[in-house]
Amino acid sequence: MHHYHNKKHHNHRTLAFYHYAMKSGLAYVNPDLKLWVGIISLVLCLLSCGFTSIVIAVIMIGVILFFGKVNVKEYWHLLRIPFTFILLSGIVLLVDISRIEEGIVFISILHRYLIITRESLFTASKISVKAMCSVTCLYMISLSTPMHEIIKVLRKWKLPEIMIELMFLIYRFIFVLLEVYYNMKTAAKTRLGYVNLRRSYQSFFGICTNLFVIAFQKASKNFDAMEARGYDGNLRFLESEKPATKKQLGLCGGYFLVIIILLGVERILI
Amino acid sequence: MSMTKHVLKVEHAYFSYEEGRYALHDINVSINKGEKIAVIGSNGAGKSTFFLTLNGVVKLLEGELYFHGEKLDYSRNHLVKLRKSVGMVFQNPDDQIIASTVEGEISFGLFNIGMKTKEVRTKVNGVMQEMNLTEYAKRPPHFLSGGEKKRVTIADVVVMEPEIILFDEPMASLDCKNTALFREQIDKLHKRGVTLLISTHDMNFVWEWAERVIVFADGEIVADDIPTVIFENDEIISRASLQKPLLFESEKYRNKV
Repeated sequence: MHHYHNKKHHNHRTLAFYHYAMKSGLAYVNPDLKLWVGIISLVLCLLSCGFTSIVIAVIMIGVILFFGKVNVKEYWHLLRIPFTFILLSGIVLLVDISRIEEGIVFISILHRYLIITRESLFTASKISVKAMCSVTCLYMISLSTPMHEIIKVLRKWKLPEIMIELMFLIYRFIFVLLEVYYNMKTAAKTRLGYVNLRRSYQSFFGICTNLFVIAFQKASKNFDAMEARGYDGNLRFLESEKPATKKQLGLCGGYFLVIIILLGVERILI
Repeated sequence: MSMTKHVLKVEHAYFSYEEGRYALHDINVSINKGEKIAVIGSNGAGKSTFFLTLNGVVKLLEGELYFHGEKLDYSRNHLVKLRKSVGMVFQNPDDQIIASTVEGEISFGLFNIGMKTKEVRTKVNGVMQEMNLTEYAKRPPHFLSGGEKKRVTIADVVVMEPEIILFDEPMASLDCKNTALFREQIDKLHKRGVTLLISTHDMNFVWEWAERVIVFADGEIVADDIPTVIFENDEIISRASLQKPLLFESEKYRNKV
């Protein structure tokens, strides 16, 4: 599957995250620490009602670009999709329908008015900014911590074993399915399966149908192989210990202190 | 041969995936310690199913499997014991690899048999060193090359220190260099006293390497003997749709001239 590793396929999002998380400059950092920092930052982001969330986002982006060594352009590519969704839902919050002309902008449609008021503008921008900032916190986690380490931490947090197992197997199967899908797509392309839109649709649905069959066969083979090595429903792997250093803990402590002070200031100002 | 020399013994074994067609039909075979066995036969002849049977993954419909003279009752305890001692390397590494790092992958079987982390670490490090995988320890196995992946899957099994290793078409996707490496690897295992069963379509390899050949056709064992006897028997060769090894033919030719 190594050929999905290269630039050509960077648009496949799951693989992009995997790729970055494995190669991240932050890979050596204790996964517990990264998860805690990400999640607490997310909560603080949601508690904030002003500039603090932006400060958090700037720090998260800084950390992932500077220490995580993620390429700026690629990072922006990855952010675009959630941002698009957030902007679309922002529009829903922004625009209201009214019988009378009011607010700062109004457009007449079918005896009604589409209006934007000062309040709706404020709410929409506040919520959108908060949501975008929260996304950067989650991206900090996913771009610096491989899925298997996240799962390991969740196991330590006493998530039920069945959920851990499902998460792991589902995650693994995304890769299996993608691999099968790309192989079949390439094979279809070599036979001109994507020569025009009509053929593309036909090829795509053909592949999807086969995908289920192949996925099932692959899954059963995989399970045989797991059983052959004595699998009994308990996934355990050897993992390297990555203890958190005093310096890292100090940095995180300092960061949270600054953010909490900022939150306090924000409360007083607003 | 005394009873105690049998490591594995299969008696009157039957198995089928679908009704009316046997994948294994009345299989009788016993495997002795330290043997070098090649398992040959065309695609779908039952080689892979036979291997899965020996490891207890495929449960026999009829017949018995004996491990060191003890009948397998498919209880959890028996299965763990069997799977610890009978390792299987699958044909396609992607079917076998499950973990996200090479060291994690190699450790999987050891954790399954209930070993403690410290001991697992020592064993995994030892095997990685032996098989030149140390530099890949933290890498995701899915992004390694074909030959490297194969090495990882062999390490998966070797680390459990089994008595028998079953290789399902191990050289099917290896290049010349990796094939040579694989040959070295199995010689080392043989010297250590590990019993080896290798299914393959490479008749030249069979001729050079194997001490015993088991021939499958349509789910049955049609022959089980030393290579010379097998390849001299034209009836078996045609029934199992095999070809004679080049070296065997040329030796015969030289003897005639």
